Amino acid sequence: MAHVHEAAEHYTSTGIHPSKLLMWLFLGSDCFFFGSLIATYQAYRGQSLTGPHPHEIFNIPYTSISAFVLLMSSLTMALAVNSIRLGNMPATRIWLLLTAMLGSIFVGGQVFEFTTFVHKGLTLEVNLFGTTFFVLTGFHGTHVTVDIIILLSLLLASLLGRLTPRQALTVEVAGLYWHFVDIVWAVIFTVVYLLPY
Amino acid sequence: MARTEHKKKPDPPADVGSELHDLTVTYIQVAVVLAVVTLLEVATYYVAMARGLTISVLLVLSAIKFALVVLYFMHLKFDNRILAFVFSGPLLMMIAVGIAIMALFGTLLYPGPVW
Repeated sequence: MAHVHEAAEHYTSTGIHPSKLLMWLFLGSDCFFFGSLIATYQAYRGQSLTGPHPHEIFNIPYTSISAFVLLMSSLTMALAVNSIRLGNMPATRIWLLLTAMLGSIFVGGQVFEFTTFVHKGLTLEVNLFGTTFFVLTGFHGTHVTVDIIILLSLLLASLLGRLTPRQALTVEVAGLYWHFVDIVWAVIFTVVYLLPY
Repeated sequence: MARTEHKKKPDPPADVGSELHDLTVTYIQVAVVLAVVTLLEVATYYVAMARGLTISVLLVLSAIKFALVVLYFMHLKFDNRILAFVFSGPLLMMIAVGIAIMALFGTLLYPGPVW
């Protein structure tokens, strides 16, 4: 019940904890950030005069697995939040670690994909596709990487006894950020990889 | 008197009472639906359909995934309505700006690649 007491200490006129409200405001602003990058990709879609072109280098089965891994990491993150709310710290640690691991697999897959593309001649400056693709997916990968560091920090804090069910909201706020990068990838996966060129 | 009113705490947040509910089953059910939708997306990519139909189906499936994660995993369905406005406002605005940018560049009704 300790975490309920903590929530009671932070009543505001809106009834929302400031850190949670701030995270949602940040996510709203991040909508503009990624929205701008996706819109730019779409604005220059199919406008590259020189190759390599998307259909020549994309590996849809590989990226589909990668997208699935990130999607499932949202489940493990939700379970981590659920566990800490229930006061189950061992389960919280397991789910946080699993989420960070799945995120790392995704980022590792992205690094491998980028390396493959570069070897096939697609670089940041070779054509419009390369520029918009690497900027969009690169910034997304950076977001995932930052969140992995946050999750590992939370895991370390819990092992040191500094993260208890009283700080359930901290895990929930970190989880909001994680789910956001997941849904952004859901959009990128459709718009960049699956929509026909 | 005014001082007493100032000290009075507002009503507790709507989610405080529900914090102890175990949502494991709900989350797993949502994840299964998300996995199925992802499978449908990839299948749509490989199935030969009219271009417009493929685009429509993929956008709808993507929107379903987006909504499921936001509503259930991010808890927006059960959370304070203010948060829904804080998030959906910029999201809708960005969709409008994105459409405007594509219209400006002449790629809204994508004519196909130049290559």
